[in-house]
Amino acid sequence: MDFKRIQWIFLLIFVAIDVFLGLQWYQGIQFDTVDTVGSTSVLKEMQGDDISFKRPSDKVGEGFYIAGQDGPEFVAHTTALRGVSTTYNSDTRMLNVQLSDKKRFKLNFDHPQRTLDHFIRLPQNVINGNEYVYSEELSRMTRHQVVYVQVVPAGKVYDSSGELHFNIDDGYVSGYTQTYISQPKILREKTPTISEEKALTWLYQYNQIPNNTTILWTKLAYTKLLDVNNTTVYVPTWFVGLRTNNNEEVHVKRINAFTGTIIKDTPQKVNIVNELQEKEVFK
Amino acid sequence: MRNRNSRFVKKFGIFSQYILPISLVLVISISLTFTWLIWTNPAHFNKNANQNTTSAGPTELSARALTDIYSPTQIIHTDSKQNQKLLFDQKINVINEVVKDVKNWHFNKLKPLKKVTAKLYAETLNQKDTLILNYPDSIAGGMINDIFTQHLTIDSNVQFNRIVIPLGSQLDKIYLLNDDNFAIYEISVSESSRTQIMHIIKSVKTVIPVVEQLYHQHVLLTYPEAVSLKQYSYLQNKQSQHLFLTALFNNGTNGDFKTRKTLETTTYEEGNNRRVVFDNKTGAVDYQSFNGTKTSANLNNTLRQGFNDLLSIGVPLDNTRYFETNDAENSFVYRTYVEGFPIFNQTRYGTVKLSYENPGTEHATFSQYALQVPLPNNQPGIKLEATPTVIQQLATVGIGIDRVEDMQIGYEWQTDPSSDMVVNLRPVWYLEINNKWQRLDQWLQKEG
Repeated sequence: MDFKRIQWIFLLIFVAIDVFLGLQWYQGIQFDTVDTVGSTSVLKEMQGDDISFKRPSDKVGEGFYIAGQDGPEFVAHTTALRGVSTTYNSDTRMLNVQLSDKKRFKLNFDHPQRTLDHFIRLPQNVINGNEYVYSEELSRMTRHQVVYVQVVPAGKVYDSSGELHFNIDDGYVSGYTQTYISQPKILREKTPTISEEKALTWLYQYNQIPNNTTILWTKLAYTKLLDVNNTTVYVPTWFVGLRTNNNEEVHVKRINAFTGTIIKDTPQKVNIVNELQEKEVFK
Repeated sequence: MRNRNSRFVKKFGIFSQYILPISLVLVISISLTFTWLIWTNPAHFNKNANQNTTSAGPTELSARALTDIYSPTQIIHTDSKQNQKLLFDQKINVINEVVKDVKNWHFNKLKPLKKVTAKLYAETLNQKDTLILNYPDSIAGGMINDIFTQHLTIDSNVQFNRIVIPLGSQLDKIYLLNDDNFAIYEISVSESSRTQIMHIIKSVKTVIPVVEQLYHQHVLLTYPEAVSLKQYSYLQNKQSQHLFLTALFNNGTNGDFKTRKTLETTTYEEGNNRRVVFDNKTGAVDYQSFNGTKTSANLNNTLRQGFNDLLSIGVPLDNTRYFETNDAENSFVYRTYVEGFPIFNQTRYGTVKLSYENPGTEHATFSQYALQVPLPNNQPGIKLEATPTVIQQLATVGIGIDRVEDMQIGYEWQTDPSSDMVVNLRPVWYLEINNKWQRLDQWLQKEG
């Protein structure tokens, strides 16, 4: 009889131990899957700060350093354009194109690319128009503009030096501004970039993402890193579009996808007087 | 009580007598299983270490992973006629693509081949229809699991510097080769497929004819024809002393370190444990720590420790690869690579040299200067002599091929004479003789 009671006590004690060990083990397993550089714990911390986002991918991407000229060379082709008046601003390196009244057309604002995709392809409408594609993210940032971005051999450029901005007046396309990167060239072999997950968590750790924010989109695209003499060097960059919950405005944060450093608004300008440049001059 | 019990027994028969003991045994065995599971799961031990790194903040962040640093540096395809070609393509990272594909395979078992002669070794290396992934020096076998995300049981004394993948129709084996002792390890694989790999090989734009050749006790990658390689220019970046100090002196928490400045050097000392010496002229940095973690004798662990130390120093690790170790395996050199070739002359050693020669000490030498961004350049390509020509030239000054430990095409780091912001990288032949890497012309001059 006593032995039976002891057995019962043992049974209860061991059930308790099992539950405890089971929980320990389960947490260990959970931790194991979390383990990758602790990003997941940072993501949890972000959720705790009321930052909402879709689960980011931890896949690494790939990209190049790209060099190109964003100078006025492409403007020489304005003669091919029909029914427009153009002005070129050499400071901003921007071509401003006004459509004649006859040429203006109505735009469905929900799906502007349906009409504009056809429009840009014709050489009498846009210079090198077939090198641009519609960007939903950038178009949503301003109300009266539709943005197309330039495609270089390795991806899209999200930079003011390779974009088409269509101006909309009363639902009609009245004209556009164009910037163009000519002769994009690959400078170095394909190199891995940081993952979307790293980009997000790092931005957060650099205090670039305020509390109570919604992350609307993330995108890996090229941005201007520096100007060397007359050439511009572009680098793969993670763009993160975010909106604080008490404000309608969308902000874009950028992080260099090779080095993981925050990209400031103005790119570095470097002037190197050396044989590189001389060679280019004499060529 | 007895009465009730006996009624109970009557109701369920003999069965009820055993319910209690059986469930007791069950519960005990479950608790034992959990205990075992918890003990064998490494996550429980790493838990604290990991929590530390996440709380350390952005300074600990790195864009590079262990597998980037310990990645193969060359890929060679041997075709059905036994012609070997070095594969390179600017637009596809060939090594990464192949590694990505092999990750989908399943590695079953690793076993060493017995009685490997130099002849058999050369045959395995040069067999037709294979891919060879090369490392500049031996690494620990355990790295295979990291690189290809596998779960092989690998003995800690296994080392290799080549991975040979036979692309025959069967594809059920791959080999790890070690030039140091002519060891071959066979890994049986399943769920393999070669379609994607063949596709990658076909799409590669630049192929350079090469031959893996056995000279005495060394296997050298030789170039039977002259090769023309591009020159590169990079913007160079000088990292501030402050940046390294915060990284090396525990984020400068106590901030009280002694500073000594002379014309040539600036020295910082934290107690008697850590010392950093900056060369004011060349930007060379010498860091010593006397209370480092004790490193184990196991190469696998030391390489991992090395990676962690690289991260904590704070040098940019873009395209940095493990390059070589010394015979005692307590000193490691890492170099930056450009287009598949190592850079020499950045410092006297390489990009970073880590030494753990005395137990509990860490000694790192590196440079404040690093490559930052490639610059467009229109300089013409440079033609490098074929290997036979190089060997002939060496013979004229009395250096026999048997004395050459290794030879590689490398890029020489030259600061631009007109602008200290620009580094020019010029391809030249580099040879290792008596554990010392020098340009071909330096060897020719010295001996001549």
